Amino acid sequence: MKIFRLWGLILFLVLLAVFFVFFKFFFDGLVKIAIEKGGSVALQRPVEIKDFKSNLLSFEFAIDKLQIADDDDPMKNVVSIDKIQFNMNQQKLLAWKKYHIENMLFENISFFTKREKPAKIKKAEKKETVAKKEEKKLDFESFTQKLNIPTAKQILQKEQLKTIQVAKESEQQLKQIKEKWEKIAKEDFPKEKQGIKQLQKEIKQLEKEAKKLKKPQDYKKFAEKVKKIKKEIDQKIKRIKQLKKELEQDKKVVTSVYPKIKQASKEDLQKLKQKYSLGLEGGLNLAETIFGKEIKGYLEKAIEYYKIASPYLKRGEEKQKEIEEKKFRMAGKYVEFKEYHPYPDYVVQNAKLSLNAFDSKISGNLKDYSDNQKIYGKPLKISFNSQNGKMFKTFDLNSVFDRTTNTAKDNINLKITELKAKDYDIQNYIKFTNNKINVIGNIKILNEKDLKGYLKLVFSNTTPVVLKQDNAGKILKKLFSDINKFYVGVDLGGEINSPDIKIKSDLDEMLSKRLRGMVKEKVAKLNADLQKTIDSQKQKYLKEFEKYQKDFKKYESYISNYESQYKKLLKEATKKLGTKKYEKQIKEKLKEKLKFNF
Amino acid sequence: MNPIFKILKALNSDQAPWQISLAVIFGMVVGLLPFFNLTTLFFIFLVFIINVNVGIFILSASLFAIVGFILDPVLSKIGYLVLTFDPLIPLWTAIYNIPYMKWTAFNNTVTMGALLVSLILAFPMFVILNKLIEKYREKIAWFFNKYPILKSLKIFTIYEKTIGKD
Repeated sequence: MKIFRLWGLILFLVLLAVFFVFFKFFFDGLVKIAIEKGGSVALQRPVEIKDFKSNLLSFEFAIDKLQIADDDDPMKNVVSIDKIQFNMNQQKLLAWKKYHIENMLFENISFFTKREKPAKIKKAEKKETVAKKEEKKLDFESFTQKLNIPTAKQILQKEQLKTIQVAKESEQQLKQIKEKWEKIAKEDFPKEKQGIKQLQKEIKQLEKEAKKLKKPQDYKKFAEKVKKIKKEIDQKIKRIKQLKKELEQDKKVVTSVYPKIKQASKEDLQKLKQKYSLGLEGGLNLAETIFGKEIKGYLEKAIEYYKIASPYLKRGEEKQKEIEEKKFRMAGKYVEFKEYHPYPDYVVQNAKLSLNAFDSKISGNLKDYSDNQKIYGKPLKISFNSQNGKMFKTFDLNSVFDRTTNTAKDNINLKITELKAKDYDIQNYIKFTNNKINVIGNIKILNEKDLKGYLKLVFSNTTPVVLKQDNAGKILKKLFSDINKFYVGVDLGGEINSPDIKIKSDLDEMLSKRLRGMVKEKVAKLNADLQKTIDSQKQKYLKEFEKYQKDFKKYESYISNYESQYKKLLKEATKKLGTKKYEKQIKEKLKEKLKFNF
Repeated sequence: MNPIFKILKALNSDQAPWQISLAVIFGMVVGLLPFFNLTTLFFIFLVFIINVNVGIFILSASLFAIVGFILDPVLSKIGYLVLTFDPLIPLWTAIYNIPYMKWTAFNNTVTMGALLVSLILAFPMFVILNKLIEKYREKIAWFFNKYPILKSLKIFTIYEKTIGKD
């Protein structure tokens, strides 16, 4: 019995040859399916290729028309590449299972292109979409309302004036004072006048009586009468003094209302000016409304692609870790051992890229891609440069993705000059045409997490065209005339999973300034009207006050007059009816009488 | 019925017991290995050049492929323990650094587990199977020669010749 069989060896070789022929025959088709299926799973969106061709002898491969569909729109590709060609290092692949591509070509990379046939979007492939943020819209109604400043009359109809409130609060008190003094003037003052006349009469009468005094008894009676009249005058003086005091007090009350009304009117004017003329603070936030959505959209897309691509930059590093962490499954896992001559599993030394963007062809270069940069020792560099494109003067995008150290450092620089941008419109009200933009930006990502960067878009040559001729349109036309240069800045921060994108622009500032200028005139007129109206209210109360003042002066003069008259009467009474004089006179008369008797 | 018939035919053929036993063992190794790689190709090559029963090899490989599928997690665990066993790491590292060895997938946990289990089982299985085949042939030949109806199936003719020689 033979142990070995020669025909078996021949059969094995024949079968092996048949297998390779079969493999060659089906290989391209199988790889095509693998790329499509694997790509769709990895990118979470349909991936299609038109054809895959290989030459297993020279290890050259070519992919025709790679299309990565948009999972939201089946008729759109997020990326499409007309041709991908590469050749692999055979020795590295066969001996060491290393996929080393020396030269690669990516021809016509295009973004967001239309598809000829719709992509088959499976429900499972569709990512959960986060509830769409409400699109920011300009509130034109409130915008125009800001310029429709009401008249002073309209304002005063709906606003409560403190001037009126203060005046009304004092009204009752002033009325009481007024009535009181009117009553005094009507009833008491004539009485006083009459009383003075009466007293003058009585004094004259007593003067006559005094000359006729003969007996001591008469003198006694006379003295009592004098005493009585003096007392009466004294009382009158006291009463007048009391009235004077009351008048002073009431005058004080009335006078205190005047500054109150004055202050209230001042406050009213201030308040209304503030309320109806400073409504333009905060601006319109136009830049974010017009450009925010688009810029944020691009940045968020770029971040999404970065998140998909970044694991491939260090897959080699994480292989060993993976085996320890993952559970055992069908087909097992590979345990990696130390290589005597370490080399990354995947390397693309040099790739030429041609990008279709801004209606132009931009050539690019990818250098030193590897799945383990620590071993390879070189960071991945991708650059795109072009000049005198259809829509720009220069285009430079230079990026470095560095994983050679423990700290992952990625740096992306962008500079585009004189980019002819599309027309931007604001809710069909106004359109910015003939835009030329200079773009400059830098984004740094540390440890694939911390995001820091900026993007500045300087618009020049912009022509604003107003599309609607309604009230807001007219205002916008005036507002945007001559604005042809402005910038939109984007500040990027936060983390890759929750980026913080802030948009700022001098456009808002310019517009706010213009708006302020436009309303300045209206506001000045309003202020003047308000001043006039409030002043007229104030004057109405002040006239009343002046009347009070006048009345008080009249009352004061009456009272002073009465007081001086009473004082004069008292003086007269004291002088003319002095009892000592008449006492002496009686004594002398009595002495003469006694002389005659003796 | 076809596989059983094939087994019976092989058992009663004029092939030596080692040819059948070795075919079963090669089938076991190839069947337990999780996927096609250089290791699998090497054992298939052995099947072709060593004068073993190809039919039995195919049957054995199919049977052990099912067993391998069931034992996959166990084989993977064994493979992992062996591949990460510290004293053996220099050996694996040395093999890992030999050109073309990566295509053998020896560093795959299931491949290593299956290879190890099948190689351990190979020798005892070879001895036991040889003995069993010999015993089978002695007993069954006597039994089938006794009944003319069974004899008329002619599946034992070759063996009959062998027995007749004795």
